[in-house]
Amino acid sequence: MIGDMVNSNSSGLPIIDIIGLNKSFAVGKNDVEVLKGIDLEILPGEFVLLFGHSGCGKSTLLNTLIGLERPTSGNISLRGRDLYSMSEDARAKVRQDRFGMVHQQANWIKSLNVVENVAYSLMIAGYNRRDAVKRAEHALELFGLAEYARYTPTELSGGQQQKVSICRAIVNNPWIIVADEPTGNLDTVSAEEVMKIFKSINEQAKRTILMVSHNPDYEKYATKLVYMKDGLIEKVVSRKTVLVDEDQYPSDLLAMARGNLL
Amino acid sequence: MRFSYLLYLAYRNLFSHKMRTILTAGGVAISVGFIVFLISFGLGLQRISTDQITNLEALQVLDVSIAKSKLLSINDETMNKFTKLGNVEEAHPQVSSATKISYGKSSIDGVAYGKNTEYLKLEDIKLTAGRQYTNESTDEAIINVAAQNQLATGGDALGKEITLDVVIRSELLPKDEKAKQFSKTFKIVGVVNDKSAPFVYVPLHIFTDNGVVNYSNAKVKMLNKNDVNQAKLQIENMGLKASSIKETIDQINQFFSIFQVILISFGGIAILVAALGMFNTLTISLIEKTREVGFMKALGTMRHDVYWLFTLESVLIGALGSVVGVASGVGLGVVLNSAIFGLASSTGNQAVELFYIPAYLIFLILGSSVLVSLLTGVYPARRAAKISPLDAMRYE
Repeated sequence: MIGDMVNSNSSGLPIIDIIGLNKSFAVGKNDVEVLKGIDLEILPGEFVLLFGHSGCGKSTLLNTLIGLERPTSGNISLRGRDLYSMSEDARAKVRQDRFGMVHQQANWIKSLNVVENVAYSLMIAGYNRRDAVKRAEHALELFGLAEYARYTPTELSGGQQQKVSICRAIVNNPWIIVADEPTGNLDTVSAEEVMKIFKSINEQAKRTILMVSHNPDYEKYATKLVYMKDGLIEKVVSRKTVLVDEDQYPSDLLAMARGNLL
Repeated sequence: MRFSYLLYLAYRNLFSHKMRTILTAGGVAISVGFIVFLISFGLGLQRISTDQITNLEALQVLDVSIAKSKLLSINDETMNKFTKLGNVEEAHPQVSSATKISYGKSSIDGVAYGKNTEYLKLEDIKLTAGRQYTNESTDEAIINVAAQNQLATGGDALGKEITLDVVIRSELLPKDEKAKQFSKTFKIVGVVNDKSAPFVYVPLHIFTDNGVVNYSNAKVKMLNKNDVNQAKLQIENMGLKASSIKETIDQINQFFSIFQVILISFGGIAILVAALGMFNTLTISLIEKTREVGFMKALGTMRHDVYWLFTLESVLIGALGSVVGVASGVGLGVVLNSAIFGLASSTGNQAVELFYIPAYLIFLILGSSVLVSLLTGVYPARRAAKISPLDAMRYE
């Protein structure tokens, strides 16, 4: 096994435990193996940066992780619960409550405005509309986006849209934030801003972050670096380990972020 | 997700495509409005035809007349037989003869009827002025509006005196007696609402006192309208002719039920076209929203929430269309009814309600068109619910 885990002081249980993960896709008559036996532990409070060339299986790994892509073999457990032995609706429920997602390209429900898009994360979890909008407004305030609350999302700049996406990802108080090249479409200034937000979410609110990136400059933000190549984990580097016990987990991410997250 | 939020989301989705929503709902509205209009027209016509002919009591009455054969006649003996048939409530005869009606210098040809008040009641005559005579009165008569207008009464015949010159045909008299004539003066006590040909009603004894023994025809009232058919057979077996208004009404109702089926099939075609339009809109909107739906599911939206979101959009379009359609269909009927009413009262005719639809039918139409839109939404909604989030998010 190339990916030798460096988690010497893992006294806490992993928040995500990936064991022997394989995934192959049928392309024509052939099966193409995209993931070839991935083992990876992610500990609570880590900022994991996933590096790798295009086509090495990063996105497939992320999709499998959040319960959208059933693996061919292997297990993924989230705080000890096996993700793929749950029903589809139960996995949807996990995405509602436990994961916050940020994509390279911000996705919007076009008929809703900015604050309603952020509130949607809460609505699917069963909030009533007034409370959801109130909390979403509060989240936007933390990011200095309160004035854009009633805009149509596509009226905002790329950087602003990405910040709103982050807002939406954290508003439901998730355990883990999964980001797939969140700065891929941004200029360097906006990209730096977005990275700082992720860092403060990680440090101030103690959330676990799993981010895919191509940019080696971001190494400085991460506590764990994972290098992937051809469907395998090539190398794992733990730079410093910040362990967070479940008890220490801040109850509300938004309350934890003091003042402005920027 | 809460149902109220799904409803809100469906509303927002429809609202963000105003033109498309209005056009699709407009299609539904036109077809529903069309159906409401056609049905209320059909029911209105049917109601006019049956209402004008009869009140409920008239359904129990048989009209008896002598058949073409001159051998048989209706006389007191026959009337006795009628009352002895089973389930007969009452039976009353009338006599009719040609007459000359004179008032002052004016004189017209008409018909004189000898009938008692019981007969008038069976006929359900409507007096526009005055009162009925009594069976015993010797000098009281009722004329119709036609006679009042044609005689120089100045439009008010009440209390005026007319002279009748009545010809009694031989059939009405005992055997071997020749036709004869009598003349008598009457005071007009009532005017009956009828504009056809001039006629006069006088008590029956005016004729019998002048030697009449055979009657022209009779009315037989049954205890129950279901007895009418059997009594008709019995009377026909006596060699007489019997007819009831029930037959006519049954025929009219039969005609209108066929008419309604035709109207409803036209409406059904319109609904089908609207449903196809709605299906098309929903499918296009689904294709357009594939990426969005994929993303919603990636965020953790449950399949059944996606399913209900699309179904609700369809139901909202259907409900909007049917409410507007029913309102305009009923509204058009009301407008035309009042136009007819206005026209009728300005020309002095009796107003009719040409469009009529009962409330339960309105709700039935509303309910069924919402049901149709629900069914139309099922297939696109199922497709939406089955969308794979990853495939959809790669979809451009």
